[in-house]
Amino acid sequence: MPRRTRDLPGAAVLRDEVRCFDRECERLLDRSAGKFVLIRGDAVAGVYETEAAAVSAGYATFGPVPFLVRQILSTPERARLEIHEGRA
Amino acid sequence: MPVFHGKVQDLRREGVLLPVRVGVGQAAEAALRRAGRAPPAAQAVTAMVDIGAGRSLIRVGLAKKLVLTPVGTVEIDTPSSTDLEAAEYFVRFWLSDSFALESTALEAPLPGHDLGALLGRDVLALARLEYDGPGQEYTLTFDQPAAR
Repeated sequence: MPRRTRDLPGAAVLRDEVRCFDRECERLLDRSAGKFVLIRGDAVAGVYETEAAAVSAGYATFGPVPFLVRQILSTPERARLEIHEGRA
Repeated sequence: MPVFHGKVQDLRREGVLLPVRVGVGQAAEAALRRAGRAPPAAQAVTAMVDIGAGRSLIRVGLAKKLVLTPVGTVEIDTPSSTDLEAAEYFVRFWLSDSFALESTALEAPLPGHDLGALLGRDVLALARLEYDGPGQEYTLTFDQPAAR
């Protein structure tokens, strides 16, 4: 059963793109592991060597709209945030 | 070589704090102009340098103020929550009027009312940080020339 996550603001906007990434992930891993994929809506728009190149291509192609840039990895990246407690 | 030096009254408790402005990235700015929209002004915030964070963060709400559009999502865990999906934005951190760095930043809750951003190891990968505990000072030195 897939894990359920809670969206912080803005994250839900890319639902279609994340679904597309999950669907295409194996194919992308075969050909382009470690590179960065650009996805808009339900379609892969390109694969780039760097994150910055993919982001630039996204804005150049689609304009100032949401799109997904994600590194093609077998294990999805997950961040652990240890917030500095002194200022809490 | 850009050098940023600061003194914090209680460095141990407060951490390495510095004033920055957070704005849209260059590619987004160009896209906004092509669409006939003026890029929003960068927002002045206090940022904390955190060598324990792999990624830079911006406070929840800042993306809306800057009319940023997300370029990614990342699952995050915090000490109080797990399985949160955070939006990721491509931003420019202005450390002075003539020096800015572009980086992705997650939008996530930050402690306190006055902290607007956290600069993680993604930004520090471009810098050297000297921490002077007894003197309550820090120096952040970037090797790359000024970028706009």
